[in-house]
Amino acid sequence: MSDDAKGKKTFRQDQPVHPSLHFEISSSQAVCHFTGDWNISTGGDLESVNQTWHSFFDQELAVNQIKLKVHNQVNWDSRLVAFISSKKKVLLKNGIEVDGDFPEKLNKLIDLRSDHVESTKDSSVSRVSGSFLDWWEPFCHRFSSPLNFLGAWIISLLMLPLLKTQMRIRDLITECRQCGAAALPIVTLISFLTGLTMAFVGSVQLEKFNAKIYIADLVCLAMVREMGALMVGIIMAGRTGASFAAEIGSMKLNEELDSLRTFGLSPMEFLVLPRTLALLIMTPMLTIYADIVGMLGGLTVGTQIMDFSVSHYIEQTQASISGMWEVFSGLLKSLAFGLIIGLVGCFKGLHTGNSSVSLGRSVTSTVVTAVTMIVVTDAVFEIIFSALELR
Amino acid sequence: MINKKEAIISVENLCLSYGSYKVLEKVSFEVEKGSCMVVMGGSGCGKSTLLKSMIGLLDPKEGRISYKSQDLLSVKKSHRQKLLSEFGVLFQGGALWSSMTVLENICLPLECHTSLSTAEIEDMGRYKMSLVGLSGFEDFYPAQISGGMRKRAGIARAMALDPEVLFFDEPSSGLDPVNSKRLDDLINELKTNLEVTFVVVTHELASIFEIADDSVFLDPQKKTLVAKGDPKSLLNQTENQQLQDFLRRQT
Repeated sequence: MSDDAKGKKTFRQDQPVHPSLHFEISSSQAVCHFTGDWNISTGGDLESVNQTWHSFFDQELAVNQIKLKVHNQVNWDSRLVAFISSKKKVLLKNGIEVDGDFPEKLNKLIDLRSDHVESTKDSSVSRVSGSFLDWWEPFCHRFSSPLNFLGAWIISLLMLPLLKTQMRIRDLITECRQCGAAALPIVTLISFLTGLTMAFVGSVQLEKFNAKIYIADLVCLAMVREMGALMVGIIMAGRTGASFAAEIGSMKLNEELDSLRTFGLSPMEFLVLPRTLALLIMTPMLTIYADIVGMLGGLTVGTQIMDFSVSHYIEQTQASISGMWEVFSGLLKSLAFGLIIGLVGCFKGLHTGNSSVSLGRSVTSTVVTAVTMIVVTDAVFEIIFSALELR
Repeated sequence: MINKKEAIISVENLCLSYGSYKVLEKVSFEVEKGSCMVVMGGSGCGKSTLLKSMIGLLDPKEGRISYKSQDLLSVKKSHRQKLLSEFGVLFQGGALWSSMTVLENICLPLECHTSLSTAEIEDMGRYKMSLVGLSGFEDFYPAQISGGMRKRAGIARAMALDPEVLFFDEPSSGLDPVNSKRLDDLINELKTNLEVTFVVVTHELASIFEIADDSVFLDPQKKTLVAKGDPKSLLNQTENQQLQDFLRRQT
């Protein structure tokens, strides 16, 4: 910046002049003069500048050469560089020759801007069909990929009895421990509190009818039929399903899945099968455990608050179960919940994108999808049981 | 090359894309048996994508990839898998399986594809680790070792099954100069003594001149292969300015 410019700068700092430009025209050559403060900090929108620019080129169609002139007095930063670069690109594209008369530093910065590499779209596809395909392909993929995944999982499962599987027994054992034994503390806490809460809530209502002893029936039936499986399902969805999605998703991000494939190892057999089988085995077992712990919660309220004897409460609990179907129906549900959680977690993990953001999305989506599917499946089971008069 | 050897891999008119975004078009070249082919090019030119396609992880939109004169894209899936099992691959970040120790990582391919005893598999694993200077780190998990060590462990794992072709994606990145030189020497040793063929994606100039028998240069703007040959001769011959800038480290 010249001394003269420096002098003006002091003045402009107090009274910034908004960016502007004007044109001079002689025969077929035009000169565009940039004036004012082209600084980011100066602000002011470029609407009027753009208007002047466009109206000039709309009127002067014969112009085939233009000189862009930035005087030394003009205060500028990267705002001007960006403006000139983008306009220059458009002018060149329209066959207008561009000549620049810029201060040396500005010239260097404009030259520094590397050419933008155009993303090459498939030229064989027209714009209309391209946009249709852009929408249609992900739409189809959204439906077909879960089905493909399920099909591949069933095939892998069928290969298991034929011993034509790459699944390692030690992986299955590790997963069983991870999603079974390691989940015991949280299952214990939640189930105990569920039984306890049900007993408290139920006791208030039953007391009105002088039927407090039926609290044992209430807790027992609710746990074995419904709450045991449901609570374990929700815990497993948040704990194990999310962990499957995160684990497999991060393996995808780190190219670990690709490296498995290059060694001829199928991620379906090597990763998905042991995880889903482990959940299939462990969820019913955890449900039985949760049923018992929930009943213990009820027993605690029954004996400590409602003054029943332990033997009386247990007898009433035993009497409440009319047949083993009550227990089996809960276990059947838990089996379905385990399968849903395992498949959803692994599917979301395998279909994680290539960024940490998509990993987070996969984990969230796993929990939301699994919990929703669990509740819906639970309702479907109840409708079927009622229709078949199994209740 | 004085004696033209047989081509073990040939790539013909390969077009690669991610959805409607074209990455590479009409790429054709051959890799000779026992040679080291370097795939060069600036960042984002599709080097790793080309490598993924060559190892069967990405199906090309058009074109043909042949290995030992068999089209990898048209053979039966089971046969394709068998052919691909003759490849060893090192991914950019090593891609070690994080739930296993380094030794287990190297032993797993041997466990799955050979009938060797556990003791022998472990011995083989330890030997491969010693080749890349990782002896003593057998029981470490990938998270417990440095990035460069993970890379070397990845190389050891890629060599686990003594593959015929080794694909390395940026093998020297993250390695110190000594280990980088050591890796170059290892590539040259394996190439000379075991006739292993290498396809190496890199932009480390020192490595390129040390290991390459042949090279291809991918241009990110033209989205295709623009030069092919021994990098030392390309340095003097080619008229492609981008390649000259690349090889002479100019801007």
